Amino acid sequence: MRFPWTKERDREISIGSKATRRHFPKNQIRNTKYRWWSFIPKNLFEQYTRFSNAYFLIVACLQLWSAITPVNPITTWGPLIFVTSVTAVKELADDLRRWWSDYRANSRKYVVYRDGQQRSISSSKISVGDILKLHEEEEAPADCIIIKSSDTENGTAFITTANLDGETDLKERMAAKPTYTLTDAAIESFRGVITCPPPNDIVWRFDGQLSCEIAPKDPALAPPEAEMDSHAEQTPNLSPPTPLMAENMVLQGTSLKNTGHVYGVVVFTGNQTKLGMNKRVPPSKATKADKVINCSAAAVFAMQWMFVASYSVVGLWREYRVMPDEWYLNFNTDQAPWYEPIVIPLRFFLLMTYCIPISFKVTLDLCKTIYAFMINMDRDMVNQKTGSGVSAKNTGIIEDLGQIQHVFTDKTGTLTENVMVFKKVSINGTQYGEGVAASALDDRTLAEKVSAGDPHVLWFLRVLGLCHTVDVDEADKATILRGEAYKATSPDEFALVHAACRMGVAFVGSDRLTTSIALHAGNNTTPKVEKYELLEVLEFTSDRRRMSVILRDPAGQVILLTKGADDIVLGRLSRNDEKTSRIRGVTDRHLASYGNTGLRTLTIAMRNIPAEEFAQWRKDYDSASTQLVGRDRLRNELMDMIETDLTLLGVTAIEDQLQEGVPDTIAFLRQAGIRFWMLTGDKLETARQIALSCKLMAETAAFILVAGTNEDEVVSSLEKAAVTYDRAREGGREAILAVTGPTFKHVEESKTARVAFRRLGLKCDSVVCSRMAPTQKAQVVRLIKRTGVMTLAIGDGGNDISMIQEAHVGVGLEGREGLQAARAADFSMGGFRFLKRLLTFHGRYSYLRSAWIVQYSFYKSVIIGVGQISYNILAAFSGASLMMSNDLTLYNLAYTFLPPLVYTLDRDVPALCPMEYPELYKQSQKSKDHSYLTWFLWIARGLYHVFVIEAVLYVVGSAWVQSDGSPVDKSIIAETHIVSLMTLQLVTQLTDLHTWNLVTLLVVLLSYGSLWAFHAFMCVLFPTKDLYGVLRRTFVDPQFWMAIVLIVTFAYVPIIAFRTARQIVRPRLSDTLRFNNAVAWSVGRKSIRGM
Amino acid sequence: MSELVEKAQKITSWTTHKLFNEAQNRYFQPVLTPIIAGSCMCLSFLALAIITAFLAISQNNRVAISKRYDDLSATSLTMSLTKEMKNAYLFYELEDFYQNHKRFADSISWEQLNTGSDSQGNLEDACTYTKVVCRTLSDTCDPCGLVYRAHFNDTFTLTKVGGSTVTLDPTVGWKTDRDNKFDDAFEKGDPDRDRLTSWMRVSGLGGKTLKPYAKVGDLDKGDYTVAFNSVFPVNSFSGQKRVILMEVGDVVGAFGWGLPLLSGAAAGLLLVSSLVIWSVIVAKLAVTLVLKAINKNKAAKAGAGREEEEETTYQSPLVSHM
Repeated sequence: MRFPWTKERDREISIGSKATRRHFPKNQIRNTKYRWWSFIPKNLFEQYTRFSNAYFLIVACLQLWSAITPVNPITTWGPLIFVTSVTAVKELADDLRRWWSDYRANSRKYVVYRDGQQRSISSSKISVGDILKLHEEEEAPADCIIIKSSDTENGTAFITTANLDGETDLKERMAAKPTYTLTDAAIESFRGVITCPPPNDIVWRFDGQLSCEIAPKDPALAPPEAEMDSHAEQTPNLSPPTPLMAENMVLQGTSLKNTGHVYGVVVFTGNQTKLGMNKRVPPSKATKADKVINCSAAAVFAMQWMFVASYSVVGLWREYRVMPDEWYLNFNTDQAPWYEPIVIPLRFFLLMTYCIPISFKVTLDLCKTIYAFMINMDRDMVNQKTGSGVSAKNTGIIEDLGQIQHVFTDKTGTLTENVMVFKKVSINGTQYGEGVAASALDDRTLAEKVSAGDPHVLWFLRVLGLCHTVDVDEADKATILRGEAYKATSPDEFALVHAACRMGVAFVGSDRLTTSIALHAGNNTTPKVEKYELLEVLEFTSDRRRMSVILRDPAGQVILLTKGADDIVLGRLSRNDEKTSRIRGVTDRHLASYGNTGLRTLTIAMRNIPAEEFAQWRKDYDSASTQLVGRDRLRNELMDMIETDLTLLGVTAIEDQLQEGVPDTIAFLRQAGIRFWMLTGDKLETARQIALSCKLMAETAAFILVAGTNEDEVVSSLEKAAVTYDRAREGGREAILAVTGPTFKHVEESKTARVAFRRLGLKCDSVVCSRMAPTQKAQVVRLIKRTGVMTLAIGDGGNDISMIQEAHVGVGLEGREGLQAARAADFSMGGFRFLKRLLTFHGRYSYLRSAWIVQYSFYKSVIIGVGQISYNILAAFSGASLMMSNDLTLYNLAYTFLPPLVYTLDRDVPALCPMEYPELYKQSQKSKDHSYLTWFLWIARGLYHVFVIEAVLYVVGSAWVQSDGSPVDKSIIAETHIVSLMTLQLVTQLTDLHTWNLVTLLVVLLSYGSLWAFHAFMCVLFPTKDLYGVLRRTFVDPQFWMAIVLIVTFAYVPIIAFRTARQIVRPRLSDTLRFNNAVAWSVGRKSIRGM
Repeated sequence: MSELVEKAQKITSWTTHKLFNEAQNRYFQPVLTPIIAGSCMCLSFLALAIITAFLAISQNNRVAISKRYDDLSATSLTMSLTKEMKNAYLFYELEDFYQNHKRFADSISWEQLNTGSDSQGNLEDACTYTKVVCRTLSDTCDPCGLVYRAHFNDTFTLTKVGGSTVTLDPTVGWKTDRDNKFDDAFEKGDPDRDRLTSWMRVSGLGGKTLKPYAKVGDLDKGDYTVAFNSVFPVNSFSGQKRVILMEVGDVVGAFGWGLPLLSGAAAGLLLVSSLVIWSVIVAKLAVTLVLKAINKNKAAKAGAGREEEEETTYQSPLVSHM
């Protein structure tokens, strides 16, 4: 892979040089989106490049042209300014919060040494090449290379990355080799050159070199000319370069722990640090409903233009043919010939702009914020043990929670507790801890063998005690020997080291060069400490799936100790021995039986390395480590070379218990129509066992395994699987598809296999994918997501992040392995079981609420837009407006702004039901309440209501004479229109709300009341306005009330009749539950009310 | 500081809990179950039917005479009253005259009419299609705009055949308009001032412009002559002019047959809807009973075959709540 930055030149940092300081940017952190001067232009630009805002801006500008505007321009400018400022204020608040945290980070004081001078400067002034003195508990302001630590013996330092990924364990860092022995004074005026690649975002990697400047007085350290590399040539008095690696580095944002202080050379500053380069805007996700909304809005827009076009044709005809005869219109004014053909359509267009609801985006965003609030505050989703609740990070996609069809779940830490309990061992072909519940720790035979000093058993335990990355806290010897002082990132390793300690081989500590264990088997013996020289650690990666250490034992022999995944380690055993192969056969059987009971297994092996071989290998390895290009590939090859010819010692088996409530949650969600995919790195048998125990599959299910080592085999295996699937279905059994990572690699490569796998996977009840690499997890999700089904991925570890970001909805668990997954996810939570409530309770309610809110917003806009243009049938197609400007402005801003918001409190079924009736979830899952059909019905309802209003107004209004002998004028008609329109809104809101509570009822009634209040106010106070004197006349006029009653009757009786008939003939479960509850309540029985 | 923050968090948590959980848990469920919906519709039908009957009777008893006069060559017409009239008004009606045409209705300055004057700029904006003569209303200066310029200027007199002239009270239009909305300077001293305030309130529905001419009061039976001076031109746009004599109720005013007919239609809609709902309820009940009977029959037959088997009827939660 070629990254963009590989083209850039390597960095050459000359420590203490002014030129270096000037050349690179200062350590100013800036995460804000705007600067003070760019806020207004940039924010406005962003807002008005969105279609809806641009549309309304054009409308608002057109309205400034007084010849065409039917109403006061304030009707559009008011809402537009309101909407714009709400969005801007939200953005501003977000940016101010970022600015504040930047400001605090930038102004923190640090001690640096420049040219041997100590200075205390604020973080933003630190520059590349400065020597920084970092004290304990201080947070590193920039990426630094440690050149000296307060631990002068070993040069080690400890940091914690809690601020970055939530991992609280200590991580060891090393000071650079050539400098860690120097005195503080020498360090403070240290000069040298660090060469490293330009800033990049790969956190775990740093390939650099350090050359120290050598004082001319000290010829002993002067390097021979030949060894000088190209970088050093310009400055002849430099020592030969030593490699710098990630372990020498302190990253920005990490803090120093358990170490007095360190000196570090700043290499990357500000936003160019590893952390800064990793800051990316997360991929934005749109909800499923957004597509329906966009298409439907486009349809409404098209409808609008159809109206405009047809009215314009009639309007123009009338303008040219009829109007010249209407003397009272005084049509003799001179106008250019283009004037009317442009003005008339524009007038109609402006009348109809109200079809698109201007405030709908703001309303929906507010509603989503309310949903997020309810989720974050839900006390029923708080894990009482850890205190962590559910947190909605991506509020935009909460409705999607109600539509999930496929859930992709990680196994370890997600379905299981990730608390590893050491259960069984098989050493040299003998099993210890036999029986289902028994633990090897309690096995007397094993304890006896340890006391007797059985070499196989001892070496097995030594590997457990020596080959790991566990730390020991400072503690007294007894605590260590009890195994109570270990700190580990990986629960597996903790379990292994702890078990070794319990069995008599205690790991007591390690430093840079050595690692020690204490043999303390038997209660009376004094512990015998063995000290091993640590030669090399070949670390664990998800590709290698094994870890090794190379040690020199007290006798001087070089040994390699390995533990790793079964298939990997078994593949690297020596094959020349008959006894080995016999033991291997037995061990294989043990492995299979452990897998079948759901245990996680690791294989332990070791090797004696001849001294000459090791010396040669070491030389190659060291030279590979100083390479700037291809270092990893070279090192991996060398590791493969040395980790061969292993001798099998045995197998460990660890139990990982299921999390609380997992089987119930999965069983319930499966009944709710959700399919589960389990994606795990563990082996197939373990995965299958867990799938059984967490009810992902039934005991009787057909387990259909797809296997193959190349494309053709995989394709034919998939064909066979399809046949097996059909047979299972005929037999009425569940069908579970299973695939392993290596097989999936071939599936991914071939198109036919991909399609067949996808088809089968979508049909099967569950899918179990084992031995999956992290990238493969994301590939599976992508494969399924492409078919258009709604996916949710849930995981707890760093290896689940790609899957979490790929799926429509990503959920991260706050696990034992840190917060990485939780931070990358859209939702984070404290346990798998909360998924049930998140989906069926919050997801379903949010989906239904938003569906109503969106469609109602368009309905209320269509009714007003179409009403305005239709009035022109009665106004000579002249572009006249029936509604008064004030009402048009207030309609969206006041009269109907709040009712959609309080719909966020509506519950279509009592609060207990969604968690008890899985069938309820299918309603939202199948998009029954927000589809093109429902949109059509809502818009049709709007058009029908317009027709009813205008027809009744026409019939009643044309012969309507008030009691003082005044026939009604336009203002009375307009008043009747707006009151009946708002009464319809009131009826719509009240009948569509499934539950009335104090808040909803109050808001709905107050919104309706605001119309009356405003009209009463205008009626009395402003003689020049249309509304003056109107309300006092209509209020006492029976014909006015009659008109409203008739409009509401005609508008709603057919709808309610139709709805009721449907509820009788084809009742939905939610209807039935609601009715039963209401009946139970009304006859005084205890009803299913809230909690 | 941190105490304050903690307190604030507690309050927020408490408020949100109150608002989002307790408020939602204390609810009233206005469930329109089929039976409630059907009953409500029946009751509404009854209420509307009574109102309809009242409206129809009231409309049937109202005396109203409407005569077209623009096509007459004479200067008067006769109206025969077969019944006496209570609280009658004289109206004129223009057909195909669009007072609510945008160009016409917008051509008015309410500021000028209300305060007696308006700024030149506002007047020019408001009255684009006429020349602005002057800013301040006076005896010699008329308000700007088409609405005033094209005001109706026919005059009528009403005489009982073989009797005296009936007094026509010109106090028509809205009281608030006469007193507050129009400035005193508007048509000061003109006997037609009140008619003009009524004209300036543009009518809103199509080309039919109905305006009051005068209050007539009670009239005896007999023939009446309406003499008219027809000067307002309507021929160019083939409009019509009518003169109307009509009773106006003290509370309800006056209405045509449209209102009772609509009301009757609404009552009919309610009746049909409630019938539909009731019949669907009955049909569903019948179907359920029949199905139950059939199932029972089947179960009995099947049960006869294997009596020893224990009866296990699993009822899913879904079924039990139907």
